[in-house]
Amino acid sequence: MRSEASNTPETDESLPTQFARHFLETHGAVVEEKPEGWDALLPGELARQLDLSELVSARRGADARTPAIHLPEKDRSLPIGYGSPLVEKMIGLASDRAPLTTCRVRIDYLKKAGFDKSIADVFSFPNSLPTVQSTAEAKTEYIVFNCWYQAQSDEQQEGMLDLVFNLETAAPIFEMDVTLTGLDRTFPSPGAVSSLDPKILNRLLPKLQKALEDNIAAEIADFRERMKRRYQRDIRHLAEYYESLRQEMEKSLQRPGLTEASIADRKEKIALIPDELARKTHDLLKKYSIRTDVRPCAVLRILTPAVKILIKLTKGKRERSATLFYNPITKTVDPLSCEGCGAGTYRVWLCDPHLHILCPGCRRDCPVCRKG
Amino acid sequence: MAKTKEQKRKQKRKERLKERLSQHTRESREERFAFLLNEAKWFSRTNPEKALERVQRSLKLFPDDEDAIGLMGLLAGHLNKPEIEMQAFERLDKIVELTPDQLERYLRLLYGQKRYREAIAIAERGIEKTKDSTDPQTKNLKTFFSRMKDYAGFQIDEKSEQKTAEKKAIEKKDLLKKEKAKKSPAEKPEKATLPERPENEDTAEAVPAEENREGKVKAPRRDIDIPVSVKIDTRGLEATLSEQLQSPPEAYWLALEAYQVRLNETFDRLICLSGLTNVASLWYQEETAKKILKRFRGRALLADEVGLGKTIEALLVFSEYYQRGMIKNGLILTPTPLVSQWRGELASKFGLDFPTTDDPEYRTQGDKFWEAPFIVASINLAKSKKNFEAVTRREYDIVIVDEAHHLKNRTTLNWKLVNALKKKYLLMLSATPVENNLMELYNLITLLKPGQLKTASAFKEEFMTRGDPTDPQNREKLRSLLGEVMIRNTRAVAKVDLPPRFAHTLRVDPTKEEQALYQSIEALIREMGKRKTANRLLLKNLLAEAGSSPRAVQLALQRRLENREVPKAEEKKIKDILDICAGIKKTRKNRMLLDLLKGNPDKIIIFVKYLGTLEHLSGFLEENRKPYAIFHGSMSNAEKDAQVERFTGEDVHILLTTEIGGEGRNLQFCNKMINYDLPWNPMKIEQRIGRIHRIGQEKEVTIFNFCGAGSIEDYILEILDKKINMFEMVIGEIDMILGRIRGEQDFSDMVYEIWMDAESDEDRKTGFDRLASRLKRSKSSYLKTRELDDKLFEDSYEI
Repeated sequence: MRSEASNTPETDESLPTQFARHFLETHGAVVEEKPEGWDALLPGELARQLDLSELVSARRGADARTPAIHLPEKDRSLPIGYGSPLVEKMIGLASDRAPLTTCRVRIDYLKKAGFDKSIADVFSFPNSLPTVQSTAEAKTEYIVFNCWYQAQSDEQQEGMLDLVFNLETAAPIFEMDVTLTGLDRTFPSPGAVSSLDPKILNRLLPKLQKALEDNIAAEIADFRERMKRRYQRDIRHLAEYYESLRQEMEKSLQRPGLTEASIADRKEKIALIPDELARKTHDLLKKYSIRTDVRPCAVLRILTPAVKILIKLTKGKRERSATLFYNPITKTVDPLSCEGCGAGTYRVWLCDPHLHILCPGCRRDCPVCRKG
Repeated sequence: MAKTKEQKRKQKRKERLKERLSQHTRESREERFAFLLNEAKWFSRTNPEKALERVQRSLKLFPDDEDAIGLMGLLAGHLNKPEIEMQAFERLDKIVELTPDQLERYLRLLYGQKRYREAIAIAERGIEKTKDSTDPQTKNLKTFFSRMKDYAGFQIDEKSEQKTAEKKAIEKKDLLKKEKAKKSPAEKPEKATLPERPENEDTAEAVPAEENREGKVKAPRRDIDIPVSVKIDTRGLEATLSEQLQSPPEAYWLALEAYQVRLNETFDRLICLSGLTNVASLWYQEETAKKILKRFRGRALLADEVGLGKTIEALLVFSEYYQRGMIKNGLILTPTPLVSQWRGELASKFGLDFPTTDDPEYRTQGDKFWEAPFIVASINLAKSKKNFEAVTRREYDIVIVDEAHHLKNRTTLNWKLVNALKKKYLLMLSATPVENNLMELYNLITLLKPGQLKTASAFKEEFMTRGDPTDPQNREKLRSLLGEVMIRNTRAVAKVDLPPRFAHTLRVDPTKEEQALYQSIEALIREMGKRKTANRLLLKNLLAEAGSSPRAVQLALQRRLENREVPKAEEKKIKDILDICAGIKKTRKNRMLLDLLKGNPDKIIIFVKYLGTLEHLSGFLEENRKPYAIFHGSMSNAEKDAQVERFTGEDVHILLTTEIGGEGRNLQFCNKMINYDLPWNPMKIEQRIGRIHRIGQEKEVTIFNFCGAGSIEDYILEILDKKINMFEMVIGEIDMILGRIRGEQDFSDMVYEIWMDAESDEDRKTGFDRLASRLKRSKSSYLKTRELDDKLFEDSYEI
């Protein structure tokens, strides 16, 4: 689940120019469209922070790919491309902390029937029989974690991930368009926000960790493969090098005129080669090991009407209940959360004898029963 | 004092007695031994336990008796007592030479007890003993010994790795204990809501190397993976989640946008990809571009194996810089025949239209031409006396040099030109950077990063082996230095492993009318060619049209008559030719096509060069009720899509298409094609084949080449197919071969000249034979270079 760039409409402007303009607007500047770009009147504080004049004009530049902000008072231009100091300063200010925002979604039509089919379309229950017990319109809340990651090895790879969870079931939701494009959404005016119930948070965070690990593993699969290949190539070269070194040293033992002491000394050095190789190989492993740092960029809580579906799962003579949500944003039923590992799953097994809900990965050995 | 006689007698008596006693003892021991051994043999059938006990007792009397040891071994084996059986073999091994059978049993016992080093020694003795044997049973034993030797060797590796891992685990435990002890009681661990995962240092285990019996240093196992750790900024997350005040939505979107800009700055996301058309870049090409942008900072030697798409990689880098506004001008230098190809790639795949030295403006604008921001130029024209000054006067943000091995010699104008260019980024492309001498590589790298390989003499001193200029010394250091400026992807890393392709030439004997048509056109071309104002391209096309179909000729000549492009004197001849064309209703090629289609139930693409031929074939297929889809350049995208969909379906098995057939569309589900006519330029033939012989093709590809006997295409096919097996080569290789012979001349011009210059068939044959010999020499020289470069670079410079 990659982040979409933003919810702003696409223009001919490059991303840094769009961002610079949004940055100024968000921080209180008045922006006026001009045929050759735009002009902006900045609040005094913002102008000081960015070391700009209060009135600036952004012009597309000669070839439309090298825009710049012109400062009439100072009679100079600052480029607003990738890596330019002005854009860097704005990025720093916009990302110094991860903002938390809430959003309410209004749904004109909410599905009222046919949930049996909806469930059958996406779920499979290989060792139990699902029956819909009851359905009810309800409000539910989703939480979107927009995260940035940096995987470091011999090289580094950066990227962004969006992870969505249903706060009530803590189930991870797949393929949800977090930009909520095309939906009637409202953002309540900034102010107090109800803090998350610590119980919900404690239930959610291990699942977030698991989901991040799984998603990052998928995101960096190619990167990992490349590093692995390079690592294996390097250890092969290393072994070849030490083997030729050993041969050279052994050959040198046959030189005439060597004293007993120097022969012994050389033999000792030859004997140390495998250890040396092992150390160097270990260094390589450290060099190529992948350390991934993840940090949140932003968090969005989405409050939406949904349909709560109570189902009964029957396995032999035993049964248990489970709650599902029909998600009007994805227009499908949310997955169930595996009680063993927390992963979201549409392929549901029930364990014996406790009927824990399990994903395909946990079904053979129920982690909940194992824990006792 | 001397002994008395009496004393001497006593002494002798004593000795005799002693000897008698010892003899008696020995005899009784022997008797006892024989008794016990006999008992053992007696009991061996009825009571092996008792037998073993007897034989063990017997061996206390005569420990080295071969019979007894042998029996002990047998009985222990029978009773499944491997330790005792092992003792038997150990004893036996000291006193006699073991037979291969005994060695086999001994080896099994050693292996069972995990005594692998001894097992290797026994296996080696077994191999030695059985090496000259011709007896099949002993041969089997020999195989067994070698297999057990390898297996024991492998077990040694495993064992030592386990030991090292255990040792490390103990060390780690101790270290943790020490650290725990060091922590003051006041330092309480921070409260963490998220489960902490170990850092990679903790998970990283040493990979041991092992010294084998000969002391040889062996590489660690190659299948070891690298550990991955994920660390989440829990504090930041908790701080955000415990926010009491929510941020406005603008701040939310702005933060995301800020990260997007930051992400793009890292080159981890290529922004140019969304603008690509008619091409899907492959993962390794994107990774290569990222590496050049991120690590090499835009200066690199791109030396991928042939056919992996160096041009696409270079253009991804170019386009990325361009989209980001990081380059405002640039120069692409290529061999003359490749200028149009580069222009085509830039336009069709990247939507960029730059002036080239092929354009008429090049001739009309003079020096001003070189002032355009971006130029695609022939390196030969750029380095010429006339242009050198204008080309090198200005500054370029980026310079790309294709076929960069032409810069291998620093005394040439090519090298001097690129050296003299003022440039920020430089990409050099060559699949064969070293042809004869490592100095060639030095010269290329020095253009990229002067000083990277020090001075020429220092390079020779440090990295070249005397007597063999292709064999480097100090390989590790050289590898590391080259790794900073060079990428060479191999097919292995790119996972490009296409099925083979096979070609069949279907030679058609023309009818009398067809022959008359071909001869008349040839005569017309000769006559028209004599004029100074003759348009060579037009004449070439006319001959090619004659090889394609009568309808193609008809359309071309009618157009020329209508446009009044033909002198009065030739009008009559042209009208005669048009009459012949009109008289040919059925061609031999069509008959052969029909036969081929009848016997072929699979999907097949028919390529033609001319719209006239497309029309002609279209009518022919309809006449014969062969459903087909049609695809050509003047169709709209929607029409093209609809036709490709028809061809994908079950009812239509034939796609009739022009040169650009199916460009950008996946046609890999089809694995057969017909060249109804043959482009004279082998690169164009490759492009046709490339439509189906590409990533995703799972079956072997079959190519049917049609040609009229005695036509120019017949001669071309003879060379390309029979002499140099072009159709079985990897994509891109033909260009490497042609590049070595063509110089400034296009292959199609070469064959046209041979054809037109020949006074007789004999002449023609000699001309084409000569060309074939040159191509063959070029092919073998290319293969030699490829082999050298593969050996030299191996997989050391992959992404």
